[in-house]
Order: sequence, then structure tokens, then C-alpha cells
Amino acid sequence: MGMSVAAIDILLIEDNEDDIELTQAALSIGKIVNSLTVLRDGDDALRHLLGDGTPANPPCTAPSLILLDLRLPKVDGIEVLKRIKQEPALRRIPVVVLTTSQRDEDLVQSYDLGANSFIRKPVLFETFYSTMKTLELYWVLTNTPPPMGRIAGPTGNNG
Amino acid sequence: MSLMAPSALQSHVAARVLALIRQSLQVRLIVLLLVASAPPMALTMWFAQQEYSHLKSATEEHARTLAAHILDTLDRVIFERYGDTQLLSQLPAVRAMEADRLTAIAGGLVINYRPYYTLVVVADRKGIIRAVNTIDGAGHPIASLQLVGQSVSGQAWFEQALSNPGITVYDFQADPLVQQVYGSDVQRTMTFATRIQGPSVKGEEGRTVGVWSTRIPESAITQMVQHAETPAETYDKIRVALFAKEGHPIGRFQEDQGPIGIDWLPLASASSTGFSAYQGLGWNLRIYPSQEGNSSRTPFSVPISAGIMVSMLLGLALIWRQTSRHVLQPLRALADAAQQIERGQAVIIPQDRNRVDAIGVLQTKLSGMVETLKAQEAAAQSTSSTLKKQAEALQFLVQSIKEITVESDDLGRFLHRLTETACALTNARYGALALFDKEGMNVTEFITVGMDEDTKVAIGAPPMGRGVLGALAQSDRSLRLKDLTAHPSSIGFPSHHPSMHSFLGIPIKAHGNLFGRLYLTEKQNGDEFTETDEQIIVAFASQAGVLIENTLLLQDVRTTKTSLKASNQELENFVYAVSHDLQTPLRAIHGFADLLVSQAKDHLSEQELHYLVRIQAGTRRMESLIQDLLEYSRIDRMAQAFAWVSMADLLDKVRDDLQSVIQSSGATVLIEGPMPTLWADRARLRQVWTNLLTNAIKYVKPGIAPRIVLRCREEKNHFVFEVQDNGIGIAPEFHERIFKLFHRLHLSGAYTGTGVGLAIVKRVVEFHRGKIWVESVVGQGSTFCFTIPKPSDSHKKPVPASIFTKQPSHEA
Repeated sequence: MGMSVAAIDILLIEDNEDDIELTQAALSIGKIVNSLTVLRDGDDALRHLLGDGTPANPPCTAPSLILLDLRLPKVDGIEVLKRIKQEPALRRIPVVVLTTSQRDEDLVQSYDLGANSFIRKPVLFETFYSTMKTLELYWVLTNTPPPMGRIAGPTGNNG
Repeated sequence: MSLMAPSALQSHVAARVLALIRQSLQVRLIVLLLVASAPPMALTMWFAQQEYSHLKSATEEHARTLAAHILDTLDRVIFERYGDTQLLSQLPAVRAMEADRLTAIAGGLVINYRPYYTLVVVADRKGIIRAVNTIDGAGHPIASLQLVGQSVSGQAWFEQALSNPGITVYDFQADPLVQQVYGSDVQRTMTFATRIQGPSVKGEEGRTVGVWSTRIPESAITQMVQHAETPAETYDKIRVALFAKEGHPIGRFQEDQGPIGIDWLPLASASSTGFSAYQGLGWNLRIYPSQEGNSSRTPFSVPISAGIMVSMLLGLALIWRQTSRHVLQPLRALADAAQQIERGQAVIIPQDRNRVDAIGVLQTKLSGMVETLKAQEAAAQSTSSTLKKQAEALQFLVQSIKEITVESDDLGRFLHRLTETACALTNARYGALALFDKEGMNVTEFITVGMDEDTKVAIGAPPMGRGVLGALAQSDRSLRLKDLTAHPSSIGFPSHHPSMHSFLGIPIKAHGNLFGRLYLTEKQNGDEFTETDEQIIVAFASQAGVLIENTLLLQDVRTTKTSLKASNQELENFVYAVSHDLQTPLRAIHGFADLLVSQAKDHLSEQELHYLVRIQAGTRRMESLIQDLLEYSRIDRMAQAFAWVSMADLLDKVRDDLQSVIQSSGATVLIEGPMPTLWADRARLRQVWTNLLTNAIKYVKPGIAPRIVLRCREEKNHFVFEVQDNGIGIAPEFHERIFKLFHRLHLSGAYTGTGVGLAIVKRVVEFHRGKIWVESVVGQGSTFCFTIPKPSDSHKKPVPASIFTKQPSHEA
């Protein structure tokens, strides 16, 4: 892609090392994607995103996109999704559920809780790869992300 | 002439004269006596004649009474029997019972009429004998009869019973078929038969499902008649005939073997009133006295001769007095007594103990008859009480059949009430019931009746291994004891057990399996249990046994069903979880192999690259297998999404999906005729068509272009869809197996596939309550057919005019 775009930061919440590595391999990190932060369980992810409620540690609004697995240690993905969408400072961040789950309940529940997209992880790598590419292109190039920073106002953009 | 001569002559003459005078006097005396005695003798004869007439009419009256009594006895026997028969054919629950149980009940009823054996035949509507129960005079079943399975269709008694809604009475010997087979050897019997009705539906009479028939042999009727104690010495012999109303003889019975001649004069006749209540029954009973018996033993000859002799010797007054006292008065008394008997009054017959003449015989006989009548009344009462008890037992079982369900609580309650009923039927103070497990080793239920809680606690566990109960547990026979403590095995009872003397132990069996035992002890008033008690409880237990067995079987089936369902569910969950969890490592294998190929391609040899490609191919196969398995296990798990589905639209969509495969294989897909709109799950049906079309395209001989025809035909309750191909075909032995999971006919190399596709199709079709099958000839192609039920009325049709929505469209 020769065009110049605003690179985005992606937060990946995933516990499987293989999947983490394959996701890293499939994303164009450093080109389209600015950075990929990985958190390996639901508890870590919530603490990272929500802070501890004190002014010193406010909710983190850094990622432009969250990739969320549903089967996570400690706190499961559905709970993480729920908490993100309940938090005013976080709820505009697009959340893409990226899961191996085939359960219809997971699909329905994710959308009910405000997930922006639901993707079943393909098993075959070429499909997985093209899925990640599509995802990247869509969320980075096609889609207009919400304004970054705190409660977004007309002047509150930090570039 | 000498002086002596005249005197000798004189004396001789005198003697002659004297003799003459004496003779003359004697003659005159005789004449005088005769003359004098003539009027009183005539008078005596006249009175005797009057008494004779009076007595004759009195004894005729008595004979009529007797005839009526015999008829009543017959009437009661038949009434009681057919009262019960009608009960059997009318109670729906009983009607529904198995034929052998019906026979058992019938058998239980007939054993009350012990003097004769009875054959009970139960035949189904087609005339096949389903069960036979033959009971001899002692109430024991005759096991040697092996009639079950024989056909009785075409036999007149059977056909008559089938067409007759009431009771059919049939003279067995008169049957031409019977005569043809058995000749004159057949025992003279009457057959009573009645239809067995099936359950009635919506107030309509139930279908006839069979016939049961009971035969009473001649000897039985004869014995019944003999029970009435015919006055054999008065009438020498008595002959009884039973006629239908039309005069057709139903049965003829006589004590000797001589032929029944027309010279037998009916002395008395009576017609039954009781029978007319039963359709098809109308009998006359006639009793014939023996003619020579009447003439050779006129009961008046002796007293009249004696009277004449006495009148000759002792005088007319004495004759009259004696005749009156010894002949006429007793005869009047007997006649009065006979009339009293006729009116049903209690009577004491005047009796002279030493009297040996005919009047004495009459007195003795009449007195004997009164005793017999009393005994019969008592016997009838006892029979009636036994019948009443059996009716109670039957009533209880019928009620239980309605109430009992498969809940084990219900079974427990039923067993308790069963034991109580058994106690009540036999007047037992204590009752217990033990149910054994399948191996017969352990007691699964032990129920006691008649003991308070304290006693139960004191007794503790039932003594199974030892003593009488232990010994009984090992056998399947009944045991009836007068005194339990006297039995050598009585030591099995603990010391604090309530004292028990009379004892009755009955096995509970069904179809030859022993699965319980009923114990009754301490009959009221210290009596011992009677044989009748035992018979009643054996019959009761055998019927209860079938009921218990059915309930246990039903419980078993229900448990098995539940656990099967659970384990099936568990298995599916397992398949789902495993397939799902296999995905993650598979993605890693495939992903890294792919990365290796793309990133290290230049550093790898040809061979190494080939291995990597093989790894990728393997993971691809495994991936599609996992997807199919997930799909298969998801069919029932997915939310149902029934809606109106236009098959024509759906097929267009499926053809679009498969466009690239169709094109690359050069296949033709033709939809022949219209396609309906259905109430179905669109996504699942799409899977069905996709898999069937993919298979039809895939399984062809190399180099041949697949030609596939799809069509639908409408049947009464469903649509039949067909997918016809020109492929390689399937051998008949695989026609069912191909629908099973992982069943593939070909080596993996020849045709690709996971072996799950058709299993998914079958499951989806069955999910829609349809069926699937294949019609195929090897080398000539296959036609896969499946049905989908028509929409029910509750689904309002969007296209009311025609269920078909699209005109034939051709080609893909």
C-alpha cells in the first residue's frame, strides 16, 4: 500500500501462544499497524484497560482496536467485553471478537453486549492470513476510527 | 244183621252228617264272614284308592319341585359363570389383558365347580388358539394338552360365538365336523362360548378380538343332577334331558347306558326363568321317571294286602284303625311335608325308625332330600362367598391396573394394598410381601401388613437366608402349614418375632420367572388356611405377578431410555468439545508450516518442501473433517429456525454456491417439475442439498460428465425429493450403511471426503421428521430420496393457491 495512513495501535487479548504468534505474523506490524500489545488473561486486560479507578491510573484509551478471544484464563472474554462496553471512556473503541467458539450463544451474546465484529478463527493459515489482512484493511483503512483520547470533544484530539 | 252193624252205620252216618253240618257251618261262616267283610273292605279299598291318588299327586308335586331345584342349580351354575364371563368381556381393563391372564381368571372361576374338569379355550379373531387351560376335577391343570397355535377357524362353535353377541351354547357332539373327526367316541359335552371384545373407542363397541369357550362334560351335568339326590328307590331311575326352547336336545343324561326311548313319559317339566335373561339361552329341563320302577313298586300294595289280612284276622274296626294309623296318617303327613317343602318352608319329616315298608322308605328318602337341600344351600352359600372373594380380588386388580403407573412410589403403595387385600381375602392377621432382584438373591422390597411400627423395628431385616422363609426363597412352590412352629425349618424366625402358627406362602410368578413371594400368617380364630384360600391366593398372585412384572419392565425401560439419552447427549458434547479443541493446535501446525514454506523456501531442498506440502495437505483434510463433525453435532444443538422455505429459491442458491464445482466437472443439474414451499429450517436444508449435489457430482467415473436430475413428488403426508445421478452407483449391501458416520465406500485416494456428509444429511432429514434412502444399481447411477412432511394446518400457508411455487426451470 503506497498510501500514507494513520497507523493504529491494536490490543490483542489472547492466551494461546501459537495464536499470538500467528496473529503477529499475519498483521503488518510497523506498516499498517503501529503497534500490537498482547495481554494473556482477562484479569490483566481489565486492569490494563480500566486502571484502578484513581486519577493516577485512569482508563487506558490508547488502543484503536481490541481483538478479543472469548476463552480466557481468570476472567472470560464475555465478561471483559461487558466491562469495556460499560465503561464510558472505553466503549467507543471497536472490539473484534476473534474466537474458536462455534456456540451460537457466544455469537448472540457478543453482539448483544456491543461487540463491533465477530470472527471465527479459520483453521487453515492461508484463510486465517487473508482474514487478518481483511480485518486490518477494514479497520485501519476503510473504517473511520473513533477519536482518540479521553471523552472526545471537538478540540480534544491529540493527533 | 247183628245189633252192632246198625249202630256202626249210624255213627258213621252221624259222623258224616256232623261233618256235613260242620262243613256247612264252616262254609256259611266263611260266606258270612265274606259277606260281613265285603262292605268295609270295599270301603277300605275306596279310601286306599283316594289316598293313592292323593299321594300320587303329592309325589308328582315333589318331583316338580325337584326338577325346579335341579334347574335352579344348573341355572345358578351357569348364571354365576356367565355373570363373570360378562364381567370379563365388559370391563375394558380386563379386555385389554393378555389371553393367558384371561385364561387364568377363567380357570380360577371354574375350579369352584370341582366335580368336573373344564376346558377353557381362548382363540383370537382369526381362530388361532392363544391359550388353553384345562382343569381336572381336583382343580389341577392338565399340562398335556398342547392345543395352543392350532386353528379353530371354520369350526361351528367358534363361528357361532363370533357372530353371537351373547353367550353361545353349543352341543359339541352334534357338530358334524367333530363327528367326522372323532366319530362316536367324542365325549358328550356342552360348549359355552363368548366373544372377547377389544377396548371400545368413542362409545362404539370394541372390535371382537377372540372367543373363549368353556366345555362341561356330560358327567358334570350328571353329577349336578345326582347332587339333587333323586328318589331312586321310589322312582327306581330318573332321566334328565335338557332341551333348547325349540325342542332341540342340548344334552341328555341318564344313569344307565340304555337308549332313551319315546316310551319314557315326562313326569314333570319346568322351564327356566333365569336363562331368558341371556340372549341365546332358553332351556327346558325334563325329568323322566323309570316306567318299570313305577309299576313294580307300587307303594300301596304292601299296606293294602296287610290291611286285608288284618281285617280278616282282627276285624273290620281294627283294619280301619290300623290302616288309618300306619298307612293313611303317615302318607298324609308325608304329603303335607312334601307340600311344605314345595313352599320352601322348614320341615321335619315324621319318621318311624323301624318301619321298612314303602312308607318307611318314603319317609327316609324325603328326610334325606331335605338334608340334601339344606347341604346344597350351604354349599351354594359357600360357593357364593368364594366367588365374592374372587370378584373382590379381581376388582382390586382391575382398579390397580388403572391406577398404577411406573412411579416407584405407586408400585410400593400397590404392593402394600395387594398384601392387605390378600390378608382380607383369607382372614390372615399378618401379611408380608417380598420382591426379589433379577437374580432372585436379594430382597428389593419387603412390605408387611398387620404389624405396628414397634414390632417392625423389633423384627429388623427379614430372615431370608434361613428357616422357612429362606427355604421357600429357594423354591417356587406354595407352602401351607397348620403350625409354622412345628415345621422343621421354623428356626429362621428371631425370638422376638410375633408368634405365628397357620402359614401360607405363595410365589409371585409371571411367565415362569419368580420375582416375589407373598406370606400370610395367623388366620383368624386360630384356623388353618384352607385349600380354597390357597387357590384364591395362587390365582390372585399370578395375576398380580403379571401386573408387577409389567410395571418393573416399564420402569426398566424408562430408566434405560433416560440413561441412553443422557449418554448420547454426553457423547455429542464430547464430540463437540474435542472437535473444537482440535482446531487450535491444528491451526498452529498449518500456520507454521505455511510460514515455513513462505519464509524458508529458498533454503529448503525439493524433498523438504514436499514434506511441508504433505503436512499442509494432512491438516487440510483434518480441518474439513473437524468442520463436518462440528456441523454434525451442531444439527440438534442449533436453535431451530423454521420458516417458509421455497425449495426452488433454495435450489437456485445452492446451485450458485456450487457453481465453480459444477463448471469444473462439466455437470448438468436439471430441476424437473415444480418445487414446493415448505415449513422447514432453511440453513439445514441448504446443507442437505449441498451435500447431496456434491456427492452426485463427485462420485462419477473419470471422464464422464455428471448429469443430475432433481425432482419432487407429492404424497399424502409429505413431499418426496429425489436427486438422481449417472454416477458409479452403490451396491445394495451399502444402501443403509452409507448414512452412518465415517462410512466411506472408497479408498481415501479415489474420491475425497470425510464420511460425514451423508450422516449430516440423514440427521437433518430426521430432524425434519422425514426419511432418507437410496435406490441404486452399480454402474447405472443412484437416486437419493428424502421426505419432508407437509406443513401442518397450524402453519398458515403463504401461498394458498398452490403449494408449488415455480414452474419447471431447466439447466444450471
